[in-house]
Amino acid sequence: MTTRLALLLLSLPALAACAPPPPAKTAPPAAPPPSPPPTAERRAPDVRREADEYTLYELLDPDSAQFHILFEVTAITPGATAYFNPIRKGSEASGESVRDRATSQPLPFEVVSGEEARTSGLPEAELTMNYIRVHLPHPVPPEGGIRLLIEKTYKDPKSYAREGADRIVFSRTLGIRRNAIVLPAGYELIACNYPSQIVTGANGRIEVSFMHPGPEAVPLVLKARRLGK
Amino acid sequence: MRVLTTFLLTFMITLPAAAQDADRLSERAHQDREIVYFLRPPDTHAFDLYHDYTESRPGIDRYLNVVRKGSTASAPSARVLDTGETLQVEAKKGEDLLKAGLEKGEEVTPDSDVVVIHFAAVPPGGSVRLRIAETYTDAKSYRLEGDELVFDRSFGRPRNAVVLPTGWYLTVSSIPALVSETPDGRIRLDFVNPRNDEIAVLVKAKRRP
Repeated sequence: MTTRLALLLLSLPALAACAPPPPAKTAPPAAPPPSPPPTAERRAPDVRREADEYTLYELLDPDSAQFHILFEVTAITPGATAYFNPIRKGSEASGESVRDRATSQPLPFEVVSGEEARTSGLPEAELTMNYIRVHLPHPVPPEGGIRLLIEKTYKDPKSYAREGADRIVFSRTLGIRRNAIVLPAGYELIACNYPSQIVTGANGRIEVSFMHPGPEAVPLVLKARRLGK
Repeated sequence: MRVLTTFLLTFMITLPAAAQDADRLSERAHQDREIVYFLRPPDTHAFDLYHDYTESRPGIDRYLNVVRKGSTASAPSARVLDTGETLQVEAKKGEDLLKAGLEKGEEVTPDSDVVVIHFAAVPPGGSVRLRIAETYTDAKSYRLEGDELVFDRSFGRPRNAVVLPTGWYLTVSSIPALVSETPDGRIRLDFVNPRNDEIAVLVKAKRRP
């Protein structure tokens, strides 16, 4: 246990980047696959490995350049015992956790390289990326799924930064089809470049939410301004 | 007799359906009506709007703007966007238009309030782009609830925009919108509805502290 925790802590700096694109993967249940061919020769998997993805970004103190991510996803590969969540480059990650949404129980996970992902159940893994490998509580049932909640906090000044004294910008390409961004307390929305629903939470924070049906990722840009006191 | 009844029933049912089909099958992306609403302070229940429309039917020389039930319109004006020409407008009751047979193609009832805009007849193969501006007052659509402004209105056009009053910030938009800030610091929401139906827009805002 101690060893696993130490390994996890050592690997945290590698947990850069955001949940979504490219899509996460569940490992097939079969025995270790044969050595995969080079990337250029590999084909996209024939089966979809996840469904119902939704990401919520909670913008933290603008001076921290940090945002907390709650990523909901369902692993749907029948028989799979692991799920792989790619880690986007460019962000510094902390505070990862994974829960089984059916039971609310935490699930074990570790960060693995693309190479290890390839040899441990994800043959199409990108060698240049790292993955969160989640150990599923039981094999994915046929025609069913295991619903996961993956949480993490990213620090990424390129995605989230101040603009002048009282404004913030959240600029990030989002490949997941359902997303929400919660502004920091005390900020109003002044710009959003993708059609979004606006709601105010019980805590008074403004939430920007959208779905996108198209094939491309959304290059979202949000701007907000601090309300006077 | 039964055959005739069946025929009549079929005819009655078919006609509206065909008309509905025509609406549903019109090319939404090529529809050219759009409206921008500029909300006044909510206690006035008033909002200015302009409505852009392209008339391309040859021979048509007027536009009938039927005021929505529950709203009252004031200060109507109109111009041709192609030339900048200011147009003559007049307020009419639906009853007058019905008597004169001028309501063709519009849903006018005797008690309708109608703004009639006159322009030079559209030449064959030509068109005219109109901008009709007016101020609506509608306590049901636009009101103050506690400290929150509420704008609750259905939109049938493909493109609509709502501009909040000066000094108010956005707290709710039930329908996805683009959000931007106007040069004078007002928040603008742009709605695009690609479907041939209406959207029930509910916008709320609060006064900036």
